[in-house]
Amino acid sequence: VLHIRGDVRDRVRVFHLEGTLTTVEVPFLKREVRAAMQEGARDIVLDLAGTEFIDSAGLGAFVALHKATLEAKGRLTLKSPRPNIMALLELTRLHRVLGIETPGPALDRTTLP
Amino acid sequence: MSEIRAERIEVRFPGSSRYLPAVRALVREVIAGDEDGRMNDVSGILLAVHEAFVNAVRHGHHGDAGQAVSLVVEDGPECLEIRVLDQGAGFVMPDALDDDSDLTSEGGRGLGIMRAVMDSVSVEHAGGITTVSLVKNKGRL
Repeated sequence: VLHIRGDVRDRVRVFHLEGTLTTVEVPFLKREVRAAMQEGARDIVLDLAGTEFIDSAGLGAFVALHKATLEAKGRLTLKSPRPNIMALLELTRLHRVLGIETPGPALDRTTLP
Repeated sequence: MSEIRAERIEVRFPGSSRYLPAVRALVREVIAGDEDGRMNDVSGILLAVHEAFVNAVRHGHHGDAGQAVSLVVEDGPECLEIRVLDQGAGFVMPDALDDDSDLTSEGGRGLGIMRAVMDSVSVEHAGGITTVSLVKNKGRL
């Protein structure tokens, strides 16, 4: 089961994916993202903080959406994957291809020497 | 009931991806019942079984939900073995993971993932039944 909540910031569309992203849910996600791109969204962010489980079809969807956003001169970003999902991205070496944003400890640059 | 106490569990599912959550729940429950806590890669094991079930449904049965997929779980003292049985034509396991595989391919990662997360993955075809066997060794106490 996948719940998708989307919000729009300028030309960036953020999708919060809650639950599982497997062969069952992938067509639904692809449809939602492609619809957003047809409405003019260029950059797509998939917020994975609430995503518990992803399979190889889910990884395939990331690749497909990565290509689709590049073609539209935008980009795909995967945000805050949980450790098990980050491990899967590394295992399949997709972390070298896909844009991944992990919230590290906030670095306050104004306090740097 | 918070745990299943049995050395061997056999369940026959309709060959539909609808039952994937039930397949994962069953395996998760078996691992949770491993009181020594020696099965530490829970998400890897769940993923391997999930991928094997998807392959059985999609490639074994070509989506025909009328054909059953059986799941056999044997929780032994040294290892956990999970077998996924379908009635398809079978397939040959590639020799090794292809390190040069196209990173931008949209498919073809299932077997590689299974082999990476399990200690042993094998496939056997006999009497019209294809059996994919997934083994995870248990760590030392």
